[in-house]
Amino acid sequence: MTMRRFEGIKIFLLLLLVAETTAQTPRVVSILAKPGDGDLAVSVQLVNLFSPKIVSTIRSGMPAVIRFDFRLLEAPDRELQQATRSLNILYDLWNERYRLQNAGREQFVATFAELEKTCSAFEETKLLPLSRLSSQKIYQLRLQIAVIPISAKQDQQLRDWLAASDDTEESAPGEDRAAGFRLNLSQLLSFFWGKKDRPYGASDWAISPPFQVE
Amino acid sequence: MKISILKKYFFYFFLLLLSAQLAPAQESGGQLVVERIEILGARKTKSQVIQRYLSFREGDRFTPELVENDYQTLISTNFFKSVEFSTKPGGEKGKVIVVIEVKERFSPTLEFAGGYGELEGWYLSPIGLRYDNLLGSGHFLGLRAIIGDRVGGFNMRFQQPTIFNSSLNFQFDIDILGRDLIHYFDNREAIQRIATAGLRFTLSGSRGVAKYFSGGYQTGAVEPDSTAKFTLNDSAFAAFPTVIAQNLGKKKWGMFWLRLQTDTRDNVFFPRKGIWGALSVEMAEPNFGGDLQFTRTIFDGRLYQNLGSSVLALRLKTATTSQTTPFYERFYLGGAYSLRGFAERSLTPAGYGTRLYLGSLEWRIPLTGRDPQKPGLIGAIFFDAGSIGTPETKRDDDETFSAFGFGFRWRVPVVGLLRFDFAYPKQRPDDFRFHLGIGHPF
Repeated sequence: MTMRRFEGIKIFLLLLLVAETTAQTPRVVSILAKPGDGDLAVSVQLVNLFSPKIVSTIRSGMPAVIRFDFRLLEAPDRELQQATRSLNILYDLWNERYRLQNAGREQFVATFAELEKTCSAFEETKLLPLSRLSSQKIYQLRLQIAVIPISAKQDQQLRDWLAASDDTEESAPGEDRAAGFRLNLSQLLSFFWGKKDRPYGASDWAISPPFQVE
Repeated sequence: MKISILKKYFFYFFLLLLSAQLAPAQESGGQLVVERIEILGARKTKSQVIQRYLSFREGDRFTPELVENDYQTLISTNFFKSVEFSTKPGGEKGKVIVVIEVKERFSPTLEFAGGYGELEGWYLSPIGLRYDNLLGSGHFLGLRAIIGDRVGGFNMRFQQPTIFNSSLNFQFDIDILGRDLIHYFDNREAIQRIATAGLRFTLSGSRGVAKYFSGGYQTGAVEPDSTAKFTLNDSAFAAFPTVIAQNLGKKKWGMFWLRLQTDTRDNVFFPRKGIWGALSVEMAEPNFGGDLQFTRTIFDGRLYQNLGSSVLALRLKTATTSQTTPFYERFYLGGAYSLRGFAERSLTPAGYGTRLYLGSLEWRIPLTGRDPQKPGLIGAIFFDAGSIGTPETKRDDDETFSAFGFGFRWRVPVVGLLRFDFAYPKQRPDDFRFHLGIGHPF
């Protein structure tokens, strides 16, 4: 009887764990920006980076992309600049190693644990030249990250249907020519007035403490 | 002379078609291979509907580029709110299970549309209703109102991409439209309203030999106004030439048509290589349920060849129809999608033409944009030539008109490719003409 109850608790805990894992989205634990060596350098710490879906995509040999979406704010809330960085991950099935690619630079790690560790902490990575910032102002940096399986193009739905909207009305050869565009009004209205879903696989926005350049 | 040139182009057309069919498959060494495809989240959509839009099957090579293309294809069906591809390791090293997770669209959508057509001129569809994939079988259903400078009315379209699990597509259209037909009488432009109501059934193939054929039946009624208006002073007149006067009044038509077609273009909207062409034969008979009797044959072939990053595009169109064809079913010449350098249909004889030749050569040069398939700005240099004739004139007497020019095509969000063409007609070199349109002319 006691054994059966213990089994029941184990299953319950397992289900809780599964539910927690399924709902796993990446989280920015800390973001710190400071001037250094002519550039604005940023240090970031992340957790829950890889959901089970991303893990199996990587392990099957397909790539995954970690996209960093930075926004430079003039405190308290005036957006000055946007910057996007991408980190591409690929598991080389035949050589059994993980490859990380960032702005043309490559790095290899042997295990998934190493990969997770490497991707979860970035120390003093150069983001912007300091010459673009004023010493008179106080700034903050916002960051959202998204982990996208296979191709970052899967995360551009609005841009995609806006671009695709011109692809209509092609007449067959021999028929009177007609070319035009089509716009899905329902999609447009729901984008501006509908419930704003966080992009799939994206973290909440995190914000750095205020900083000033010397 | 013209016939022999046409035969030559037919020969090249089918030679290129044959070579496209014989292209060898590539080896797949060291690549990932699809073991299985799993579809999640499809509550009403049948899995074969989704698989129809995929460019890979079990056992095929699998790459991120395939995902990018198929993701784009699935999103643009309008069946889904979101689509996501991921993978799982398969049973053996190098094999993957492809997982496609969709969120379906259950409610109808509203649509705004617009464009430019040879028949319609500039038009807008301020409101349209789409209820695609209502029953999960992957059909397209839409109803829209159309207003424009030469058109007004309604169109309903139903399209079922696969019927009876075959490679046949079925399409059904209902049109209730009023169109303004442009005439030129003594070089003066006049507009005549033509009211039409019709049904059109189309069967076409998507795979195998069937993809080279389409055909169908259309029926309806047409009634041209008994008067026309000169656009310059809005004055009405009813003294039409005989060829028009004898076809006034309400007429019904029933017509079967068959088209032999091919499309090997690498991209539909900015083709860089390939052929797009069709030979169509249309036959209207009183036995087919109407008053009209005529046969119409049209060949329209287009060849695209990339030269580095630029593209050389060639069009050859030739058409002929019976003497009994009413003027509103005959051919016209001149305009932004026809022979540039001349005003819309301004080269068309009174009562329209029964034979037509049109050739165009265009060199398209991408000027900006990183994606070679979607340049932001394209420059173009072109040469158009054509002739049109009627049963009253001899073929050898048909005057050949030509024009050369240059243009720009600018990719604008939502609208697409806006086209600005500047053309100089050889016959009237001082009469330079500007054409504004959407998309490439061919």
